Amino acid sequence: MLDGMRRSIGRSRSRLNALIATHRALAWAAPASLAAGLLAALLRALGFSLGAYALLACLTAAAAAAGALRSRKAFLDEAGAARWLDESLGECGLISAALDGLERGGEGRFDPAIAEAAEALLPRAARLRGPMGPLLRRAAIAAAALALGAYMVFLSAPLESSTAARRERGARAGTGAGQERRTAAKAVLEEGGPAAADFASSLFPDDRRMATLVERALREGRLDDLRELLKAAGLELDSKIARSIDELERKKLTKEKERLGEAAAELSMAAGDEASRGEAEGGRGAGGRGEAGPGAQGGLFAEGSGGAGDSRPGSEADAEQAEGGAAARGGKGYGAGSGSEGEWGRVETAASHERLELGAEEKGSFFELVLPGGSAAAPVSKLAPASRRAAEAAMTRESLPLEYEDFVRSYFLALSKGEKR
Amino acid sequence: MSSEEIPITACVDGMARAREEIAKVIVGQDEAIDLAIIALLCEGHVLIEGVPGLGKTLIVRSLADALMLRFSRIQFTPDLMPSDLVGATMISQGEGSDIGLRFEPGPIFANLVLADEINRASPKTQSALLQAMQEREVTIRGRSYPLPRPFLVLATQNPLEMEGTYPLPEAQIDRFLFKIIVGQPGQDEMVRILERSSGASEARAQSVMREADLVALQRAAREVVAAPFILETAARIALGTQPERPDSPARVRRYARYGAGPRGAQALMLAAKARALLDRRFNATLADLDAILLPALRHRVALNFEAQGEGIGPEDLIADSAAAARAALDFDPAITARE
Repeated sequence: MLDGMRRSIGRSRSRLNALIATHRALAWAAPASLAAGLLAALLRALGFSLGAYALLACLTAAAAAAGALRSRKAFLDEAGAARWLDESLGECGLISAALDGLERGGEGRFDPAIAEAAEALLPRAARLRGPMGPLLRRAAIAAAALALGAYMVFLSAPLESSTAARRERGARAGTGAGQERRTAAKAVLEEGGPAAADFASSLFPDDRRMATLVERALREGRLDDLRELLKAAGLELDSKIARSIDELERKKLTKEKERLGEAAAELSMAAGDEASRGEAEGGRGAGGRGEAGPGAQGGLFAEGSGGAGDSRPGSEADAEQAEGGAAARGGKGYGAGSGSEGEWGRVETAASHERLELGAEEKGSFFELVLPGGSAAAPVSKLAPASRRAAEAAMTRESLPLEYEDFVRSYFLALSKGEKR
Repeated sequence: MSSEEIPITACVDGMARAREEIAKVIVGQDEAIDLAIIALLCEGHVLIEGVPGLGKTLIVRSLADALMLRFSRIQFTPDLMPSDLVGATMISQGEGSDIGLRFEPGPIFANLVLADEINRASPKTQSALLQAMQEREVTIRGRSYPLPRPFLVLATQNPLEMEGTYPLPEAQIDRFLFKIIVGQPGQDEMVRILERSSGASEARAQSVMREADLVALQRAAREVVAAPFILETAARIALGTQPERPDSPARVRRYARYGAGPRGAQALMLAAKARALLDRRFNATLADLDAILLPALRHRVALNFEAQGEGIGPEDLIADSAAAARAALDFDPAITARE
């Protein structure tokens, strides 16, 4: 009787402990799958060449094994299994009492009666399998977590390949386009005619007016004017870059400027202006920051904006700072401050709290281009917010010299107060 | 025939018939009657708390009638002396000229003793009763006189009139197996009480059980099997009422002054076994523990002032302790159908 009962309880105990171990293994595997998926995806995106799926599988399996091992603490002993059977059968502890009585040798007065009653329950007890609901729920969660982990790894793959492919394409395209432009520039200067129109369109595909002016300058062989035009385009791009707060847009504009610079350099090279070539390259290299290297004047496109301090409209103090900043960098600058003078002539600006006005004392080719009417005016309320954002972005990027930051900040604060008034 | 030879099922049947006889006399108060029978099987004593006129005396008298036991009633008053309770040695003259001392037993020498309003007697008299309850014998002038078996004291307390009373010391309250709170009857019960008590004839319980059967049941109750987890649960519940234990429930730690000790756990387990036997089972269950939890422990948990101020009763703390003990028995969620 004792053996039969022990066997029956032992079988139930094994089943229940297996359930506990599986349940705990799945419980540990679910979060581990997610973490492993994230880790594998991250490593893959960072370029580590390893078996991401293998890592996912290994970490998940390790977590499941750890969970199963850990579950040993929750394993049922024989008395626990007997109690579980009692509870499941609704038999008020009869099997537990029988087991206890039998362990004591069955010497108690009621032990035989209890054992007999418990033995009658054994066939029913043998049919009990343990609840599958919790296990299935846990398994579903673990499977979902594993699938999510695998999906994260899967997502990291196209990112990696697309980045590499894009880089490769860019390299190919850059070389090809440069060669084409160089050939085209040579053809333009040698032949003129339709090639000039194509070259101008390729430089300014979205700006018909600029394309026309460049084409005209090319046809007529006015290289000085051409230089001015390209410089003006470069300045406009600089201005846009400085105002832009969108990082993507900034990159796009910077690339556009680089492309313009390359075209100008190729044009210079084609024109035999070998002396200016290196200088133009120098100016192009620092174009992203809007600073010109020393001696960058000779190239078609070697202007340099003179730093962030140069481009702001403002008071006399601004102008002084602008000039100082430009001088410090060795570039010429096109400072908009009152009294500053670039090679395009003297520029007068006047800013009040209501309007910002820009005009030229003497009309020149540059202002014909950028200010066809000879002057421009815009409400400060429209200009200031965008400029303030641009200045803030510049400060965030630390692209503004430290000594200017307080000044710029106080300037915009004063402007804001004026607007409110 | 010794008690071992008496078929236990016959004794249980006899007790069931006695219960029916008592129910013919007493309307309602089922819990009090059942607990009194369980206490009788456990050889414990019962403290009954309730206002006068709820049938406390009738319960004890009917129990004595049904079980064919000797009954005595002692009305405790401030001037009641210990000798009035346990008896006294008196000078007596025999048939010859010899004059000797003769022990005259007091009313405590009965199977069922109703100590009415025990808190009205002086501590000295209370102590004499409680000592007799514990030792089941009376010692007078260096001589011990054993009390009859079975021996059950049912002491009553009136919770309303506390002036001029001597509340039982906490250490002595612990000697009662149960503390039963007797409540007022409901309307239906009241109608039935009126029907029975206002008639021409007075109902009386018939004797249906022999003393030997009762003694056999008392022995059998101790032989009922309690699985280890039942014993563990009883121990956890008792220990869980102790405020100084860090694993006791929060409310116990906050509101209890002291909790149940080993005697409380013993009472819990023994009463659970007796209840299982009366239910024709030879093994105690958690349901048995639950059923006798409050009467067995409520007088063993003392509350602090904060608890009294906030309306917390010992029952609340016992329930917390029981819930914690049951939670410790919970299976792993993996094998629990209810998750």
